[in-house]
Parts: sequence; C-alpha cells; structure tokens
Amino acid sequence: MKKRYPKSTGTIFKLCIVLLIACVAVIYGCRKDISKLDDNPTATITDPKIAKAKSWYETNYSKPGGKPTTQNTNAVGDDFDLSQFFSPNWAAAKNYARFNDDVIEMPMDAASAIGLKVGSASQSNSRSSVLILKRGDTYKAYVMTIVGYPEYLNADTSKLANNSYGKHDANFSGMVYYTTPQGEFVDGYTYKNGVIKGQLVDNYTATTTGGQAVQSITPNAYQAIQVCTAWYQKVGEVWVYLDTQCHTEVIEVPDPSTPLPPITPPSSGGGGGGGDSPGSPDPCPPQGTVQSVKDGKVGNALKVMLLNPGDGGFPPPGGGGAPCTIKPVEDPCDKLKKSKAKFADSFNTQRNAAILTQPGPHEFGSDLNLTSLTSNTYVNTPITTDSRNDLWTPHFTWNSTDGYTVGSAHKHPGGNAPSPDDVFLIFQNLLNPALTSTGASNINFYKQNAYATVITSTATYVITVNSTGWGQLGSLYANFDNDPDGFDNNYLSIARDYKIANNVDDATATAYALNKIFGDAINMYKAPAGTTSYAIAGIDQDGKLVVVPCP
Amino acid sequence: MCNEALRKKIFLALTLSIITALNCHAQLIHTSEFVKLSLPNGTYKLNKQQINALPGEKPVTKMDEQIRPPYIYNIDNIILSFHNVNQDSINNNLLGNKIFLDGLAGTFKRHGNNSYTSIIKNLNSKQVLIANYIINSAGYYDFYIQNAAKTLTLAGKMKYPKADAAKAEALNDIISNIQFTK
Repeated sequence: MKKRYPKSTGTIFKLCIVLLIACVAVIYGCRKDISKLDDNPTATITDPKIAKAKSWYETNYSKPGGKPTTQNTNAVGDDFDLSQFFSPNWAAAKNYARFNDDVIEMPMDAASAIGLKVGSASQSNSRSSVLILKRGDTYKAYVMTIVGYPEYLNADTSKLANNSYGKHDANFSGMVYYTTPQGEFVDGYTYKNGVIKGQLVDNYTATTTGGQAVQSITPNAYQAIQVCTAWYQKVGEVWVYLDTQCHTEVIEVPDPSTPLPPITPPSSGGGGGGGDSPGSPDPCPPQGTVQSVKDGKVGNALKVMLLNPGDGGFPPPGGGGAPCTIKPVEDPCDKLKKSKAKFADSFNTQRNAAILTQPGPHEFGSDLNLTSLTSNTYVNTPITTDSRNDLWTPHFTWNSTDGYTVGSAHKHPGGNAPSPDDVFLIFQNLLNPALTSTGASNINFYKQNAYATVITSTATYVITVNSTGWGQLGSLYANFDNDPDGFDNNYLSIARDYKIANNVDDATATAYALNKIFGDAINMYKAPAGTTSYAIAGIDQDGKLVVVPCP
Repeated sequence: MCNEALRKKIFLALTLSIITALNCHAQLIHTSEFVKLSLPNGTYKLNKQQINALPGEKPVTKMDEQIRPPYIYNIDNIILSFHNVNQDSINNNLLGNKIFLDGLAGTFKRHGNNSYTSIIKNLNSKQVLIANYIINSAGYYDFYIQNAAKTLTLAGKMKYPKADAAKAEALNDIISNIQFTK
C-alpha cells in the first residue's frame, strides 16, 4: 500500500511549529507596519502641497521629548507652548484656496485632543484644528478653535465638525479663536446665528471714566467685555488644565443705551464640565463683567471687523495679515460716507448725467480731476470717447494745471456693472510716475480718495478700494498682468454661471463676478440712475449678491 | 445530452446579455429634466472629487458649488458640462445672452486675443447660440440650445485642448442634436 504521508509524524509536527512561528512573525510584522503608519502619517500623504507644508510645520514647531503627561501639563505663564500638547492629523488634512491663500486645514490627532474653555462652558464644546496658510512662498500656521454656544450645539458637540475655516453653519453661534501654534493669541470672533457679533482683541486700550471703559467710533457704538479662555488637554477621559488668557471682546451695538446683548456663552451648569481634573485652578473670572458702554472715547485706530467675509467662512486670522496684528477693516458705510463727499457731489452727479445722455452704442467717459488736494472742486474735463462699444480710455494727470485725477466716470452702454479693467485702472494710476514722483503724502491722498464710476441706463456704480485692500488688489493685478485672458475668462465664467443658475440680469451677474473676484479689497456702491442714493453691493453669507443700504 | 445543449444556450444568452450591457454602459446618455442626449462611447461622468481636481474648479464657497454646472463629463479629455434647463425669460433670450457674452468677451480683444466668435443659428427646429474662443492652450465652446417653442434653454460649456479643435467641433455638432423631451 502506498503511503499517503510519507514523512514521519515528528517531521510533520516540526513543520507545524515552523509554520506557526512563521504565522506569528507575519502577523507581528503586519502589526508593526500599522503602528509605523500611525507614527509616520507622511506615509499616507500623497498630496505634495500637504507634504511640503508638513515638512515646514515640523521644522518650525518641533516637538522635543515624548507625549505630555499629567506631570508636565500645568505649564502656565510665558513658557507655555501649546504646540507641545497636540499633533496635527496630517492624514486628514484638506487643501483648498481662500482669500489668495493656499489653505491646509486638519483636525488634531485624536490622541492629543485639546479643548478651549470659555467662561463656565465646558471645554468639550470646542474643536481645534491646525490651519496653515500659504501665500506665495510664505507659510503661516495657526490653531483655529471653534467653540459652540449651548444654544447652537443643543447638547450635540458633533455639530462642531460642521464648521471649518472656509465654511460655518448658517446658524452658528459661538466663537472662532485663533492662536499661533505655540498658543499666542491672534484674534477671534463671536457669532450669533451665523452673524459676527464681536471681535476678540488684545491691543484694545480703553479709556475709563468713572470705572467704565467707554468709546465712540462713529457711526457705530461698541462695548467692551472681558473674556477669559483656558486651554485644556484631554488625557484619557480627564481634561487637564494648561493655561489661561484673557482678552477684550468688542461688540457693536446699534444703540449704546440699550442693554448689553447676551453674547457671552451662558452658564451650562455643572461647574464647567465633568471632565475637569480635580483641583485645577478656575481659569476664568465670572462672565459678563461689562467694563463699559456709553459715550466717551477710545482710540479711533481700532476698527472692528463686524462684517462677515461673505463666502460663508470665518474671517482670516489676524485679519489676513501677520499673527498678532489686528488689521483695521474699514466699515464700507463709513467709507461711503467719507467718499460720497467727492464722488457724489454736484459736479460728479451732473457729469454722470451728461455722460449717460451721450448718444450711440459707444462708451463715453470723463476724468475726474480735483483742482487741488485740499478742495472738493473739480476741473471741467471734457467728455471723451474712443468710438468703441467696449472701451473708454482715461487720461491720468497729477498736477495743479490739469488737476489731480482721483476718479473717472464712464458709461457701459450694455448695462454691465464695473469690470475688472475698471478696478485695475484705479490700481494702475497708483503706479503712474506722475503720482509716484510726488511723494508718500500724495500717494496716500490718492489711495484714500480714488474711485471709479460706471454709469448705465439703470444704475450708477462706484468702486473704491479699502484702505487694507491695496495689497490684495496688487496681487490680483499681478495675476491679471501675468495672464489677462485667463483672468478675464474666469470673470466671464463666474458671471455667466451665476446668471444661468440664478436667473438674474447681466448687471447683477457682473456685479456678483466682480465682488467674487475682488472680495474685501474693494467696495462697490450702487445707486439708481440719476440719484445719489448709494447702497453697498456685496455678497452675503449665502454667497448671493445683495444691495444693502447704509443707515 | 439535452442538459448539455441547454447549458450551452444559457451560457450563450448570458454572454450576449453581458456584451449588450457593456455596450449600453459605453453609450452614456445625458438625461435631465426636459433633455436627453446620447454621448459618445468612452464618455464618463465626473464625480465631485474629479471635478474639484480640475484646474480652477475647486469650490471655495457654497455658491461656487451652487452655480457650477451639475453635469460634467469627460469625453476623451474634453470636459463637457451642462447646466439644468432654464425656463425663465432671461436665460431664454438668446440674443440677450449673445450680447452679454460678446460684451464680456470684448476684453479678450483688448488683450490682442481675436479668437472669440459667436453665432445664433437654427438647427433641426432648435435655436443654438454658440460662442467659441481660445484662452492660452485651451479652447472653449459656450452654448445655449433652445427648444422650438423657445421656452426651454439648455446652457453648457466645453473645454478642450487646443490641439483637439476638430474633435471638439464634431462633438459640438452632436450636442446640438440634443432632444428636448417636453
């Protein structure tokens, strides 16, 4: 009989042992690979932009030593370095463009959760992310923490994940809080039902009168409240206290005599969340210590940005500039009030009317030249045309004989809102040697007063540049100069798609496209033809073009 | 023996079904409310991730996604997009749309780019507005196709590599034959 298993039982047993060892080795080897993957998320990063940002981040925010423990977490004071307590989850990083920045946004690694406690609300009501903004070759990193107020969360902290730098819930109530990775405060904003209600600042200096810090920044009134925040780290199921900072929250109130709106998070009860480590210091004084409110004055240098960015996301950290620098943002209504003295005076109004009555399909226009830098009177410049339907050429001058060209007005016979070329004209004038050779004060005068008027049969549009918008305008102009066809094709596509999707007229579609491209760099004002009833034409938080009158 | 023959028949029927199904799959049909169009073999519809990966298509805001054409296809590296059919008077005004596009495209001419042309023509009882232009290395067709009753307009766009102009033109003819189902 032929043996089916020729080898001896002992040999088989040995073979089984070898196989078993091999299996264990394979399983162990696989497990090792998985853990390596966790320790080295770069292995999962396929996007070169994210990989590059990671390399930059790790070079600048290295993490010496091991993971923090309860023994080394109570680092309060100047030595506090938040970056030592969290790790970005690079594998979950998202990359998109916003405000001329290349944005990389990612949550914290689950093993290094940090929480921000605001007032008596629980730190569990917060969610922190790492934000890396790249503009040109320059990276900047921030920790963005979103705090949900109880009325928004409704006991569901998972709602926090609905909010990111580029998009927040339409009914978001809470706070977005920016720091550097080391925990140095940058700024923050408070929201109620998706609308900015206040800004957190550090460099706010209020004068006090009889114990009340007070101010008046016409035409709006502001109130100042002290808000304290505390960092915690989650170790297991316990929140361990790290550091406390206090800031001033500045909120706009329509009527200073009205009571302070309840924008600070109400007490959630339970003494600040069940996870606090026993004996940790109470980081914040009681909320609602209103320092101020009525009349009086505060340095007018501070201008609070209480307008939503318009694209459904949160304002950029530091107003889009460097960390810890509060960039004043002009209130477009303030700007309108100031600028109207020039672009809506009787000369401009009559000139606009005269341009509009020019016959035929061609564009007509006129330079608007002040007779001096100290008056609001204009040189009687001629109305000219290039005999073209799509072009009118202005002539810039900056001297006492021909006048100082601060603006221009021309007709769009087709009825479209101002085009990118009309906006860039304002910027190009800034580079004109006739102006630049006259020195900084002249240049500043031009920046503060420059405008472009476009007249159609139904409306008059005026474009001005925000005092903080010249840099952005310069970047856009560089893009345009580099690829004018591509730039204008983008404008065409946006206008066309908006018209098709929203069944709006040409003027609305083009006004949308212009606002979409130039964003906060410019203000667009619109008045019914033949009037000076200018209102702000901008994009609201739902992304639609709206025309909002100023109070 | 009888079973063997039956098995062969079933196998043959299954094979034919699979081949038919594969053929049907290759011939993608664009359908949305009011329109139907058979697209060439090899066409595939882009998903959200694929659309976002296209240059300049990554949405920044909610509105960016809302105004983006909801149907985007890739036909041999030609990107074809269709909006939903418009029934409003503004978008059904082809002449108005032509003036609108001509006005916006006037800037190309100012930069020395004279490639832009636009025309409204009648095709199989439909009216079609077609604008064609070249930007850098890509060609574009913007089109509006209107039903005979002039109550429905389908707008869309085609972006193609400049070298594929002939292929794009042929595709444009196919698109113009879109059927209105209402």
